[in-house]
Amino acid sequence: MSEMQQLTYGLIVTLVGMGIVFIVLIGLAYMLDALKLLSNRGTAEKKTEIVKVEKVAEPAEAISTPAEDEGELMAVISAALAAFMGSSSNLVVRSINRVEGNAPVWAKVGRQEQMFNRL
Amino acid sequence: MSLLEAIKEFYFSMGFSAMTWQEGVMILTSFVLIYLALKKGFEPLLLLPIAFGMLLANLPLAGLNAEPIYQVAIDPVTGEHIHEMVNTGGLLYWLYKGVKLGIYPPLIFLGVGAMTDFGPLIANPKSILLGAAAQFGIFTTFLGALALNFIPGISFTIREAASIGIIGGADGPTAIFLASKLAPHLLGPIAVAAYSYMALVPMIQPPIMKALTTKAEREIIMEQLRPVSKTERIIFPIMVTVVVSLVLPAAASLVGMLMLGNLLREASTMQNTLLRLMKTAEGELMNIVVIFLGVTVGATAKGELFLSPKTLAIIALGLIAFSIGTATGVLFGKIMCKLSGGKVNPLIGSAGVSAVPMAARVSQKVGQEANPSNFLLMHAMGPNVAGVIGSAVAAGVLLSMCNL
Repeated sequence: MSEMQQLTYGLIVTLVGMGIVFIVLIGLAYMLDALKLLSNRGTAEKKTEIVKVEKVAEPAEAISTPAEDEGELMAVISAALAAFMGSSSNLVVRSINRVEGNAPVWAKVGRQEQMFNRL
Repeated sequence: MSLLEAIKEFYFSMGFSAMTWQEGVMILTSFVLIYLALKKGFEPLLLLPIAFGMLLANLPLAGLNAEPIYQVAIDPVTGEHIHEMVNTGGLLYWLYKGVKLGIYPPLIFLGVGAMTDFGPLIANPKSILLGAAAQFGIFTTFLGALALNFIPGISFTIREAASIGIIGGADGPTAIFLASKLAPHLLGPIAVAAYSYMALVPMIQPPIMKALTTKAEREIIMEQLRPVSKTERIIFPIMVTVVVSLVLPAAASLVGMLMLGNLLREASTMQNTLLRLMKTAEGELMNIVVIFLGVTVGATAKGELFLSPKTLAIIALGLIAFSIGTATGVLFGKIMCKLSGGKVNPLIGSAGVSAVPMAARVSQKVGQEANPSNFLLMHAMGPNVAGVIGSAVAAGVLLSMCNL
């Protein structure tokens, strides 16, 4: 094959190739849309529930970051510790300090996604 | 035999006496690659075995790549002519069979499938288009390699051009799979180029991404992805296998194994016993294959083949392939941004080149530079894993159309 013939054949391969890549992937995208409809059919109530959860979660976050009720927070954390360590341990909580998280940002994102996926 | 003769004989059995200058250069090259893998962290998982394979293959007289030698003999019982093995051949010759016969890359894909979460793609099917757009890099480079034929002194056949183009898919196993079928003599440079550029993704991509987008576009925050149901996760790999293999039988081994791995992953949450298979696929099996693949691919880089102008052309074309793939992904992202009324951040387009998860991390990083509260990682994972499917499909097309 001459250079020109090779190049022309190359152009044909490119057109066909990109065409097939797009057709296959667009086809998959449509099938995924259909799959979503199928698998979510009859779970309409569940959907509203999810929306509710997300709505609740955001204000809760907003409340907890600024000046919160210190006493209540202490009580909750102490109770959680006591429950975790068993009632027999004589646990005294002297102070509670917030530790600055040093996880990379996208580790945080990953954690967040995991939580949302399980809701 | 005098002492002098004995020493002389021993000298000629040593590697030093038989070393060619090409082998010397290749051994030095392998040292550089080992340094890059260890000190600079360039995909050490693969580059280190590749570099060591390169070292082993270029040691003179070691014969690790030697073919077995057969002799025709007459069977004393039946009187038939049979092939008798006189020399068993080298270790790497036999391990290389897994590359040559197309066994290792699909096995790696099995592990990749077991490690990949296709959730972001299922949640946002439109992002699959970005995975398709980034495959332009493959075909543009393919054409580029053919266009180089007009320059006297360089000549690439269609099969070679296709193998070089696939570097733009940014997918090591796919590149090795295609090159081993179409142009095995170029496997060494192609694998080295593919893995080096994958390691350089965080340096190659950001300038292109920034040049093609405005700051306002980079700042776009995307909505949280919807949760994906278990049924969808289970059906997805089965569906992809059926669709892709029916359209493109040549891609069936890659996509099929990728999706088997993924099915093991998703199904292990339903049937606990499957967890064992999934653990093996993504753990020990993958590690074993990575070692075999790396060493034998490196061992294809024999000095007299590797040190040619073609290698330089391949390394240059590989960079072009990566850059064009990134650019078309981002441009397609811009189109989707316009069509969706500004809901899609074009930066996720560059993740369509399938270097998982490096390309998605780059999208995340560039997005966060523009807007610190921007989390694009999960959105970018969609095009990223779609890119894996896209480049396997592209490899299938090239394999069936360029196998002249």
